[in-house]
Amino acid sequence: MFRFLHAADIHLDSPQRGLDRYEGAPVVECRGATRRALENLVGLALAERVAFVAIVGDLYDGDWPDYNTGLFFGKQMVRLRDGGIPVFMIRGNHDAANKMTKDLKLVDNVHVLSSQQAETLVLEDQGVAIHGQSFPTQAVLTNLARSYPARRKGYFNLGLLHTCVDGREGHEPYAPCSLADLRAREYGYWALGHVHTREILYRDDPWIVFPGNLQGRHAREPGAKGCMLVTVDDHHDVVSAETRWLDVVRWETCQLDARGACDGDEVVARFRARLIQLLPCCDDRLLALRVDVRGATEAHASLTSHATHWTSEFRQAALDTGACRVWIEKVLLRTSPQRSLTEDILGDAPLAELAALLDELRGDDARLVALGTRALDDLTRKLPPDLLDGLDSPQRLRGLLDQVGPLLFERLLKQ
Amino acid sequence: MKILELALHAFGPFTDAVLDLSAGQEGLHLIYGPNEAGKSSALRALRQALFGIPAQSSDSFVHPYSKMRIGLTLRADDGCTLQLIRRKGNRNTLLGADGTTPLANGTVERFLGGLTEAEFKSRFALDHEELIQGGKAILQGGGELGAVLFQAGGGLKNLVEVRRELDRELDELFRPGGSKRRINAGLSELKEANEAKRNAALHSSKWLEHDTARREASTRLAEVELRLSEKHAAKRRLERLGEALPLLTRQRTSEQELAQLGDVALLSEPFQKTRLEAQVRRDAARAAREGTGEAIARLDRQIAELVVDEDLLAEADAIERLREGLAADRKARRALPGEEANLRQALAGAHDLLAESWPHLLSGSREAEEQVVGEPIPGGANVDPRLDRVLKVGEQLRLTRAQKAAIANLAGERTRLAAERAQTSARISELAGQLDDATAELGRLAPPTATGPLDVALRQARDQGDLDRILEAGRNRLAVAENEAARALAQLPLWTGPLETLERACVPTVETIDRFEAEFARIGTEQEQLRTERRSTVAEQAEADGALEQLRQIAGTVPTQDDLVQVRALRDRLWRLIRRAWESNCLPAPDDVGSLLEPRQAPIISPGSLADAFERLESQADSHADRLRREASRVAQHAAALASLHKARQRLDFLEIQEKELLQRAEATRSRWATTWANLGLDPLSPREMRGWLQLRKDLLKQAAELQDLRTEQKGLEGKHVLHHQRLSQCLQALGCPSCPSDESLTALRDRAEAELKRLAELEIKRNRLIESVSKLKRQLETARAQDLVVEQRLETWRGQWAVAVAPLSLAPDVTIEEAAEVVNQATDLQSRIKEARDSQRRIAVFRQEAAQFAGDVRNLCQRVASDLNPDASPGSSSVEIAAGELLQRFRIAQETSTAKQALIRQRESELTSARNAEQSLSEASLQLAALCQEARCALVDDLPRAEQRSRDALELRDRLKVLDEQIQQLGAGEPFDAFRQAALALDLDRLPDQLQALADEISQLDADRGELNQVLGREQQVLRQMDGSSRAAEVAEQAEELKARLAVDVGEYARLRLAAVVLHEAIDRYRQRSQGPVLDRASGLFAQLTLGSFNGLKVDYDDHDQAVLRAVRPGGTETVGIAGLSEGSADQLYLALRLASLGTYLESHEPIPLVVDDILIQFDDDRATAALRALAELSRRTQIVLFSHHEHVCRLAQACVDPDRLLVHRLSGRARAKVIEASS
Repeated sequence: MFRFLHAADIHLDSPQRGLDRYEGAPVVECRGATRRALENLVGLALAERVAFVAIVGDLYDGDWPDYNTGLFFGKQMVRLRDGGIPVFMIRGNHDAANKMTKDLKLVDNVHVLSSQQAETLVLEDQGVAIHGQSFPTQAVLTNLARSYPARRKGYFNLGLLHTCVDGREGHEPYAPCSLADLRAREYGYWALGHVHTREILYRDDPWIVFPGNLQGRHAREPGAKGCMLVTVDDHHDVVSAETRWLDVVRWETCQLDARGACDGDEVVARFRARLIQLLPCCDDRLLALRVDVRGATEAHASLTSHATHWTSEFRQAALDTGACRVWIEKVLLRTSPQRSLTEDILGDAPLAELAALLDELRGDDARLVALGTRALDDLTRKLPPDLLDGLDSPQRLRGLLDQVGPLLFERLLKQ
Repeated sequence: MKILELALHAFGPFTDAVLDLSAGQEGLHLIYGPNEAGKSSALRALRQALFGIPAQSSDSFVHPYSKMRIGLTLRADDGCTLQLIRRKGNRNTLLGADGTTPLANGTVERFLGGLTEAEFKSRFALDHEELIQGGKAILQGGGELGAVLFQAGGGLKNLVEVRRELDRELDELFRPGGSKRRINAGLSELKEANEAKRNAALHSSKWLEHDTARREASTRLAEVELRLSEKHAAKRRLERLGEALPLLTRQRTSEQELAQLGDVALLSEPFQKTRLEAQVRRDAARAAREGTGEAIARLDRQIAELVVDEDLLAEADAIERLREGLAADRKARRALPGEEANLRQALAGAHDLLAESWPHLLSGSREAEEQVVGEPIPGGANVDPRLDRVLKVGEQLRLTRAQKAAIANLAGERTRLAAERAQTSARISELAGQLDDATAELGRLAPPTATGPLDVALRQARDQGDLDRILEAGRNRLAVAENEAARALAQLPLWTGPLETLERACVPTVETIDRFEAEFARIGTEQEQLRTERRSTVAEQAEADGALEQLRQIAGTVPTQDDLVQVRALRDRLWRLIRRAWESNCLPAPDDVGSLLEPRQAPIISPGSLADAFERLESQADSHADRLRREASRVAQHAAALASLHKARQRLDFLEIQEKELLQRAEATRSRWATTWANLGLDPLSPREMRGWLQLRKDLLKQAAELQDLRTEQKGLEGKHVLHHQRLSQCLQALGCPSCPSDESLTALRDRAEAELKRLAELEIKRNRLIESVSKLKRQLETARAQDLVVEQRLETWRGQWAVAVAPLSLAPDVTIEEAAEVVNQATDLQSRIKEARDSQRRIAVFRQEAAQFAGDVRNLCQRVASDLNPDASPGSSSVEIAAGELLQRFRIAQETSTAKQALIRQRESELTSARNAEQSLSEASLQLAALCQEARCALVDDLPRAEQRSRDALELRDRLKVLDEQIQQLGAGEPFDAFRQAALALDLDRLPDQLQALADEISQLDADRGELNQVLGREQQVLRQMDGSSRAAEVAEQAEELKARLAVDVGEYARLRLAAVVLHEAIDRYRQRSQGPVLDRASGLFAQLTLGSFNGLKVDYDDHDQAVLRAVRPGGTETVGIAGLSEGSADQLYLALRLASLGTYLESHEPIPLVVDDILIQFDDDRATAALRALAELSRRTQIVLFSHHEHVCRLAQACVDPDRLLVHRLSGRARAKVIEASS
């Protein structure tokens, strides 16, 4: 019997995105999360005395220029070599795009499978045949699985493949294949990479698994992250494939229902209660939390018109409740008013004019975009593209408009 | 909506105060209260009744939070009313009229058309502060028309501030050309962070370059090290060979010296030392042997001189016992007299006790008694007969422990029994007394009475509740309702008859009225249409006339087709006449052609005249035809105008007929309308008014029905009241109470019945309690007597036991407990005295026996070992003690002598041993010396030193050779010895320094190379160490991401605020466009009115930026003043004018919401205040206005300038805890 680790999409040194720094945020603790997750992986391998570690592509970000990242990876591999643990890896689309991949000299216990064609490496001691092919270029649009070798009899056959399988939302359609293609190889375990969400596509005969990435990097990669610990018995059957969480910073979204809350303080109190429930779920990890507040509430006007103030209140609540373990990434105040300010209510008052104007703009994309362009042109011309964030799109402008109404009403009606 | 009533049940200083705001059509309600009268509280109460009392209220100084209540009655425009009570609290603060039933949330809001408090306050509440702020804001805003209208239209007094705040926030975030604003600065920081990331990143080629350099340096260094090591080795060998050469020479010399010494016995290292030690030992042994012989002889002599008494020493045990016996004997001699005195004292004490307590037991032995007391006891007597007697008597009186305990127990038992006895006796007498008292009191009580009927009557009366009050309230209600109904009837217009007639009268239905209204409306519409049509037709006619006239004036008569046809017809007729004349050759008759020829009256009929006439007509026709062709357009216009004129005339005729018909229809309808109401004897007003009349009638009838219900109800109540009064008074009389006056209230009667019932019930309870008490006391008395008997029996038993217990003490059975206790104590004392006497007697006997024993022992010992001492054996003689002392002295001397002799013997033994040892040592030393001679191959001991010297020389040479060998081998450094030796011997010493220098030069060159290479290697390693997988670039990247996140937030905020600013601006502009006409027109008039003509009105102008601005127009209409040029007072009035104008415009198309105004006239002079009051009064035609004021002159002004029908003044009483609010109109 032996065990091995299956990890993928380490994206070493890929930064945590979207975390706005504020007083009390656990900045230092959050640094180098991907590195520490990799250290956790190595630590787990040594502790579990695994036979080998399989890394299925995307070790680095494609555009990451720092060779130190490769050197750090090398150091970690030395730890594994000292523990007598070999590493088998294939390169994914990001690795293929990164120049560092070619230059980095790997330690002798690290074996990278060929990018020219599917290759098989054999571990005679455990009776393991490892099949795999690295990405030769960034965009591989052919079905690589079909050209993988046939299973080797008398061995435990492990397939390493960086693929989107039959397509996954938010992921490039690289090395597409079907489950049938994979099953046709009759391997014991397909260790897949590329998709950042953990997913077991098939259990037993064979196991087909995306382990997800090792460490979430932004709010769209929520939940626990880690690798698979696979146990194979003497008959070369997979006994178990268990998940081991290795992430250092845990990304979560706290959906907060503000319905019935009479003011912002009550919404914050609800958040506090939710946070107390959330904290134990991530052990002693750091929690990078997006708060998404929704629902019709009396507090809508105050929340949306004083968004900065209430964001600070949420952060303070997190500081009070979560000690230094929580970083509030963003507070989305997407509440709605309990009643809409319609013309009927306001008669022909100025505010009704304002409400009517807002309604018209909401229903007329062209006018809205024109207004947005006129209002924001000065700013958008100065912004780098990745900060533009759809400021020229009707959807984003409509979203802003939803906040503009309450903001103006609240301020104008303030006594 | 209208506020009908504000009831201040418990709020601020008010308790159950009511503000009736129902009067008037809508009305201007002026609520006046001087300072401290609670005006502000009333104002707050009004708002808080509508929207709730805030968590922190300042109006709780009289009524606590929990008691605070405000009542409010509202009427919606559809006539339905809402009566509510607002309490302070967190939930269910809105209650129904009963003050308990919670009303649904939003009930009030529905009456207010959904307005929130903030909206209400901004639009339908106006106070002095807002006026001032509004005026200021107008001045600050510089008269921007849109902003002014927007602000006044919505009561948005902080519009200017909001816009300014938005601008400020935007400016803090971003400025297009700025660098320090948050977004500007953030973008710069982001740029720097990206730059830092690029700088911190390590490029792989750089690493590879340094790695290669390090590897090369490392390889070259290894080569240099190898060569250096070789050169060092060569140099070191040459040096070694050079060093080895002198050693080889010395080696040869030493070998020669050793050969010269020849055969030498090699002696071991300690040989000389061993030889010298053996000689010393030998000489010392000889001296010792001689010394010991002399010492032994001396000791033998001293031993012989000492003599020891062995017999005495043999008696050592006996002597030891003697020493102990002597000490005991001395102690006994000292103690004996004391012990004898003790014995006598104890005997005397015992005897005294016996003589005192039991004299009968000692009777008949007087002498013996004296002896016991007086004489000493003889020393040698073993048995004392006097003592015996006392002891015997004492024995009789000895009590066992059980006997003593029995006496003590019985004594305790006796005390308890006595106490019990006393207790039972006391209880019996007490119970008997209580029983007598209870029986007597029971006898005194009156006999029981039946209260059932009164109880029933009272319960029934009580079930009716407070009938008196209900009855009274009913009467009041009835009276109020009757008054109300009468008032309502009097107010019903057009009607003068009684209510009953009105009730019975048949009135048209609403549908009929609707039908008539529609009909009238239709007729009106049609009339209007006809009028319009007529106007337009007349206009058309006038237009056509005008057109014809115009044609005429331009070109004279316009030919027509008819003219042409007419001329042609004449011509043709003439031609036919001419033709006929020509054919018949007969001139036509003058009648036929008269009209065709000229002159017409007396035409000359001749062919010539006919021809002339024909030519003229011919020419006329041609001329007409030509004109028609030539002036075709004018002809057409003329024709069209003529046609229009004709059409208009026809239309006018038709319209006239229609109007007449319509008038007839209207008249018929009016007559039918009048007929419809004929049976009521009314001359009806318009259908709309009559609908209102019907509604009033309906309300009146409803009131009448309610009045009837009230009357019926009241009658029932009166009946019930009489019934219950009769029943109660009958029952009370039956119970013997005085008769009841018929005017006594039911409540008083009920109270009296209740009191009577209560009195009888208490009596019954008392009786029952007494009966129960008597039977209980009887039971207790019996129990107490039985207990007394039991105690008596137990006392009898005790007496028997007591007699038995005291018998051994020779006491009578009737002895008291105390006496018995005293005797028992004395018996115990006697026994202790007897015991003391016995103990003393025993100790005296022991002393005497031991003295005799000691004397015997001393004598026996003297006989054995000291016959010269023969002590006297009599008791008490001191010779025994002296003899014993002498014996002890002699024994000590004998012991000392024996010890000294033993020491001398041991010394002699030691000397003997020393002599034997010396002999042994001497022989051993001689043998060792002989052996040494043999080893050194010498015959005599004296030859030994020379042999030792030769041996030392030989050994030294050998050692030197060995050292040289080792040194040479060491220099050879592992090289085979012979080869090294040969090489050294072959060395050319003269060339050696040159060879060594050459090698040293090479080595120093290699050392330099190595140093350089080490530096290169160190540098590269250092560089590579710095490239050790540092996370610096990654950290900088994370910092850049954080900056981006911050920027994203700021950008979002900026976009939101910017959109808000732009949207607000646009909304203001649109509002201006839409409302500037109606609102401005109205405001212009109001402004002129409020400023008392200082300004003529308002006007829109455009500033330098083409922005619409407001200007005030001076009288005369030519001079205008910019808003910034207005005084503060005028600005306030402008704001008020705009505010009232906006509200007026609003009220035109919406249901009214009351306007609550608070002291806005404080800073107005009387004239302007009057103007403002008039403006408010004007507005109060359309909506209720509630005006609060502290100032009485405002009341006076209002009363002077406002129509009394419209103005309703309510005075809040200045007296504390105002209960009443006066109202006057």
